[in-house]
Amino acid sequence: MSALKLIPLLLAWCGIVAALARYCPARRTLLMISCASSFAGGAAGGNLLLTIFNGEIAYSVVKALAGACFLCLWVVALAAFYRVTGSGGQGTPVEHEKAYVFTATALALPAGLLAGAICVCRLAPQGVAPLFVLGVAGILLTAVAIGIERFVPADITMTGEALLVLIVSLLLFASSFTLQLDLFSPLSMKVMKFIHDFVHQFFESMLVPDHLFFRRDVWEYIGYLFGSGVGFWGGLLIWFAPVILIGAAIRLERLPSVSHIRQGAQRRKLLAAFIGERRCRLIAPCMAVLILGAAVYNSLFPRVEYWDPKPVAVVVNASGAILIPKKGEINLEDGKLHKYLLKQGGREARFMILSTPDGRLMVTLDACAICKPEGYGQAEGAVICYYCKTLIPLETVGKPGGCNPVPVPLKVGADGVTLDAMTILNRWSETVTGSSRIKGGGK
Amino acid sequence: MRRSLARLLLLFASRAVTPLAMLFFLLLYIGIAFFSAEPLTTLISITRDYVPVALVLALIPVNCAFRLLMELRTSVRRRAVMKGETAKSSPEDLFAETVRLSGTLPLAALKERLESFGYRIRLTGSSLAACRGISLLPARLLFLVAIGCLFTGILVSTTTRSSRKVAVIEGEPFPLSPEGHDLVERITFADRRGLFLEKTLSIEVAGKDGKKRVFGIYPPALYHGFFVYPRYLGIAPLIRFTAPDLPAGFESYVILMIYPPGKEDSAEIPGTGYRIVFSMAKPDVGDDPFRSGRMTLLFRILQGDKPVTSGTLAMGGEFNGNGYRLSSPEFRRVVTTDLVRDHGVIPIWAGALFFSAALLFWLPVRLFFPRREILFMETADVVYACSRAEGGRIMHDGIFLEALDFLDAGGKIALTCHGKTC
Repeated sequence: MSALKLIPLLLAWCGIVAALARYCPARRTLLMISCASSFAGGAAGGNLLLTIFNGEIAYSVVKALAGACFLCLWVVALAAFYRVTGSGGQGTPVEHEKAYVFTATALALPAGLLAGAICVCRLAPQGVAPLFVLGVAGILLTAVAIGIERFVPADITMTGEALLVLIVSLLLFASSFTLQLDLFSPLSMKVMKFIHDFVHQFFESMLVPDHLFFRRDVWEYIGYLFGSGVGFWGGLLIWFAPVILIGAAIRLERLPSVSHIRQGAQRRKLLAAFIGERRCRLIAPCMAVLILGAAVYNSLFPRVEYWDPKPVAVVVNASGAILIPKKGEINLEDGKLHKYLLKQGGREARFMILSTPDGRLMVTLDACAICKPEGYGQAEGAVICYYCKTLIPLETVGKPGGCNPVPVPLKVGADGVTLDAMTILNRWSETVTGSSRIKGGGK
Repeated sequence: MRRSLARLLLLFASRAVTPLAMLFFLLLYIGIAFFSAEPLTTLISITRDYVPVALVLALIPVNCAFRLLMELRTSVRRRAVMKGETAKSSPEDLFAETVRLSGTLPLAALKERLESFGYRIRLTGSSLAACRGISLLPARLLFLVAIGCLFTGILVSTTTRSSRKVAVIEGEPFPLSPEGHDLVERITFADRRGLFLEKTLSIEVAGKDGKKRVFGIYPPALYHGFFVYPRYLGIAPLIRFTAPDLPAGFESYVILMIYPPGKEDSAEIPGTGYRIVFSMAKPDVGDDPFRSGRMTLLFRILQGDKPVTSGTLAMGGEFNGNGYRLSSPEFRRVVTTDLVRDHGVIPIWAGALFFSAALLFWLPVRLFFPRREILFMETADVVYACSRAEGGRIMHDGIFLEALDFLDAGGKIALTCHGKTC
């Protein structure tokens, strides 16, 4: 099962090695050694991180490194596009062999380290044996990828930018298989937050009046900017933009000057050769678009089974309280998430009870104050917001803020938990403002 | 010294300055987003509080100004070369493509040839300049001015903006008015469907000299250097309240920000422990209550946190129950207003106008009349053939190459128009 989980990640690693070999075909042995050693080092380092720190910190470190790679790609893409548009379309300066070797090795090391660490995070928590197998598999696949690369048509060439775009997209693809390392969902959320803040700040700064004075239809259009769609599409734009910029930089490279050639046929031949070669260089960015698309798909539809019980309807007594026994049909202290549905006077609210790792019972709404109330599911050591895919460690459930489920005050007695129905309903209507619908069933 | 100054100027005019400054702010924003739930407001306060960060932002308008000068200079030099003034400038830096040829130019034949392609020709001694279309330079300059204005506005606004929240109340002096001379005579709220807004708000203020001023919603009016920025509406009813343990009663105007209906606000009865929570009842039919003045208030009276009674109170009417008496014989309209001193607002709007102007100029010119230029210039030892195009490059390059072939053949190649022999 572990091996199956790792197949797409190891294939991504093969792709990285093949791309590096295509970029620097002259020094395959050197490349193979640096790729294999960095992958093994990454796997060992990742395992060390997971062993020394708790899961969250280790995942955060690997995720931050993947994010840094994406940021580097952005910088390189902007520089490439800026260079081409600014210089009237001058192409990439010709690199010498030494530069090729240096670039390839410089990219192989961090790519191998990160790929190894991502694979270990996907594998976790596992013992030493699978880790050893992973290291060996990574090293063997490095050799296989370098061998296979020889069969790729010679026309398909690689610039430094195209190599980087391919490597980063493959790393992001690999990380999208592990929920804790996924970058697209948090990116969408950040974009949504930024646009919300920006529009608010713009209105304040430009002294634009509040919605009280706006036409309803105009305000509804403005309201689109606060919707989840903007976060998603904005996230997609940021996600794909570096690849598109690099593709555009290649496509906009100006045709070589042929003014000095006086034979028309020779001129056309030269230009056709350049155009053909330019098309071949576009293959890598096109592949990167597909790979990043697959990463987005993984992010939107993660292959993880969550514990998400169907909400149980609760009864409110005459004094407006809800009594839920600790033991009975449902054992509140079994470490699992339990969901309840409260209906009163035409109002509804969903809430959940779970026992945290330190044994405390916590009651929260099945929604946070930020996202639409899609609810939460329970995964290993965390609950996940279905809407934004944010993982909330079980230790922090019950604390307010961010995408944490909204806490509800409770009284824990010897027999069970007592809640105030009105508090739950009010808190639901006060904080869960994003949506008017309530999902009745679990997933 | 002079060389260093020139280098510094070149550095400030570099195309890389603006993107690098923006990259700096992007990275700063990303960094802040890791640690703060409000990254944008934190970024703004960092820019306001730390001079080096503000200086980085200031680099953008400075860079725009230098670039504007550089591009104007290049354009002037190119125009001079096209006019045949060759003494100072070499054409190589001014055109996208420059070819050096030997021999002499058959200028008359070239003129005839290029004119047939629709180029306007200027023959000056030993040079021939051919051009067609309209230059995009004005759009480019407008764009740079727009960027400069926008970022100047952002810089000024971020670093110097000050704001005061005040309540503007009918019958009371306008806040900030010197010695309370300016009196708020009337606040009017009305329906008026505009392009973006469907309400109008007029705050009529009468000065000591009898001169009237009216402050509306948008664009915001200026009052002693402050923008008057109306935010929310409310009322100030005269509340008369008596309770069993408060026979002497309480009477005062209280400000309640309870518009639109549904919003709640409360009034403390000082020194009694009483608090009255008000909201405005939504009218089933009829006029807007704020506009018409016909309104009903829903209230709850609390002593500490304990509710003691609740009910409804029509404006001008009275509630009497459980020993509590509450009435409101009259009310005044209130507008919560921000008085904002911000010199960055106007440059930002000016920037938006310049952007629009640049786009309106650029789009049709780039699509239908792009500038294309060819220059043949004979100097003492070499003949320059130069070309540049702001659009329609493929056709233009073809014509340029054909002209070079024509010269190479000693001016004896058959004249062709769009591939056909003329």
